[in-house]
Amino acid sequence: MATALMLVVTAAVFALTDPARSTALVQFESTDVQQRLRVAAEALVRDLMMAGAGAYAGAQSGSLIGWLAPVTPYRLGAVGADPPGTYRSDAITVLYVPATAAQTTLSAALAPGQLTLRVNFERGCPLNQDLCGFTSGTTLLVYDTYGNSDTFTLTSVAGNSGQLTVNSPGGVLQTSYAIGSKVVQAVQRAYYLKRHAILGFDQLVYSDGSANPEVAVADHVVGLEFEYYGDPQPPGITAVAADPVGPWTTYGPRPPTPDLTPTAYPSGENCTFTFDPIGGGHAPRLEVIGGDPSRRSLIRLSAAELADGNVWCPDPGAATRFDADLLRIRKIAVRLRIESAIDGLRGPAGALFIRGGTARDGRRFLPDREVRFQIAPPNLNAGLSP
Amino acid sequence: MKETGVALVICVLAMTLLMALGAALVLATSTETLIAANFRTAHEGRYAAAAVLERAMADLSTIPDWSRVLDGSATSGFTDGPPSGSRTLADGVTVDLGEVVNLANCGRPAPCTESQLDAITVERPWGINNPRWRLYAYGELDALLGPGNSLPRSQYILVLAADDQAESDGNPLVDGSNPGNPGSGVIVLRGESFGARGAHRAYEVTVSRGSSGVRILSWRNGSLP
Repeated sequence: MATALMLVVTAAVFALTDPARSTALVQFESTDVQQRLRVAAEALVRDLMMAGAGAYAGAQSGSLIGWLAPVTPYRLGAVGADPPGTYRSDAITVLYVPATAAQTTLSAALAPGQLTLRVNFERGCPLNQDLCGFTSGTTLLVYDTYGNSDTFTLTSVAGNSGQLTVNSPGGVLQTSYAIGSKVVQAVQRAYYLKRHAILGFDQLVYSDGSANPEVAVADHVVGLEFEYYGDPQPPGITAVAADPVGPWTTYGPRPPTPDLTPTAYPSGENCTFTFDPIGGGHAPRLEVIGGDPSRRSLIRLSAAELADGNVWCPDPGAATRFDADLLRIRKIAVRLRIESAIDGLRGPAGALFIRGGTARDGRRFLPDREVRFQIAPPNLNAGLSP
Repeated sequence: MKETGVALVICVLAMTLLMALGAALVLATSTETLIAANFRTAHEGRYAAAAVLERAMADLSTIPDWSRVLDGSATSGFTDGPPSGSRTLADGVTVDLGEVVNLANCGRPAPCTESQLDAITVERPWGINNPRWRLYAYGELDALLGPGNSLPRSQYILVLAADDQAESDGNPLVDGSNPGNPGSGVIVLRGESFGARGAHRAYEVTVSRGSSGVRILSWRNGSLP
């Protein structure tokens, strides 16, 4: 009698605990999924918010969109870089100058095969530090007023000089930078998905542009998508070229004076402005997107617009060229989706699960979690528009 | 064989098992709730710090001489009393304004000496041109947003102002005015927010005088002490 009673009670206990066990398992994994989603979103928000932050001491200060494209819809860097003109909805590279004292100008030109860094000691450089505070391992951004830019890694410092490697495929510098070009400490982040070599799931990773291995941010990411919104209007001139401070344009590099031909564009012109030698004025090279010249609100930028190469900066032959429409980007929309790491908590592939699992009981379903958010980086939206 | 009480033992064991499962579940869900709340507070703090900076920049555009901001004689219209003492929010968050300023100036909560202010450190490598932060705007976020806002908890927000790093006049309380001074007409603002459970966010903005008001040169994440 007692044995029978024990069996009945034990069976009841198992019947009660089995669903509770499922609930507990789903709940614990749900917390983990949520946390991975938060970590991934936080990393993206932190870097996207800073996109375009430029130098803030000395010449060529201000948002980077006055000089180059700080947001690109593809990977840049020494390893795995996409070619110019690529559009990938699942990858993004952002560039910005963090809080740093290392902001100055070149005192010796950089050229192909000539990668020794020498800089001027300008106001704002840290006292009692060599090389304006640049230290080994730092990422550097060098850019000029014509739209040329490259990122480098400082590999060693000896007194007032340092050795650089170029953060581009092959590690070969293909652009020359004259004395006086701006050099600043920078952060480059390329976010993309990478398949785990052994376990087979996708990770959200970022690369710092150097040859260092990428850093994993979150596991089991099954959706990553970026959309771009930008200024529909072409750039305008806001100050004469002789103005020492600027900003000279609403966005994009300022045109050269009529006697200069620094790029493949005709004298006095660059990728964003043409020059009328008879009238003596500059006109935008870019067109109005959407056809409404009075529209001030942002417009969705299509893949074709951002990658068609209709207009290249600094010119079509430059190794570091980029589509001039990338200068329009003002807002980035992000979609991020994360799955359960446990196959047994994922049901058949479909609306709830991008990647199917082995669960067939709804009580054991833990659907993918998805978050969408938009970031309007302050540095892409302030200070340049009139 | 005597079996009296076996059922009781089994019931106790079963209840212990269920209670352990339940307790673990409660712990997991309450932890998740707390993490979510912290995440939300952190993001609110980010936006709050940005909001007070926007307000400060709007006020700054009306001040013709920024040296008055640097020496503390001019403040924003957004203040809640003298620039000292502690402030306590309704949910118990306390902010000591003096400590905030001291932490920004010399990395310690106690008042800074002159030598500490001018010391060359990794964070402040400009010696006598080191920034000397002053309170420019401060108050509760509710006061900035006005009545009827839907925030569940308030935040304390403030803006510190200081001269920029490119100054060359050797006086961090004066915005350089000579034409050869690269820091002329340029100052730095630091917006901070303080929220529930120690949430703390900061942005720094370098601004210059533009033809149409205040121009943002750089908006960046601020380091926290």
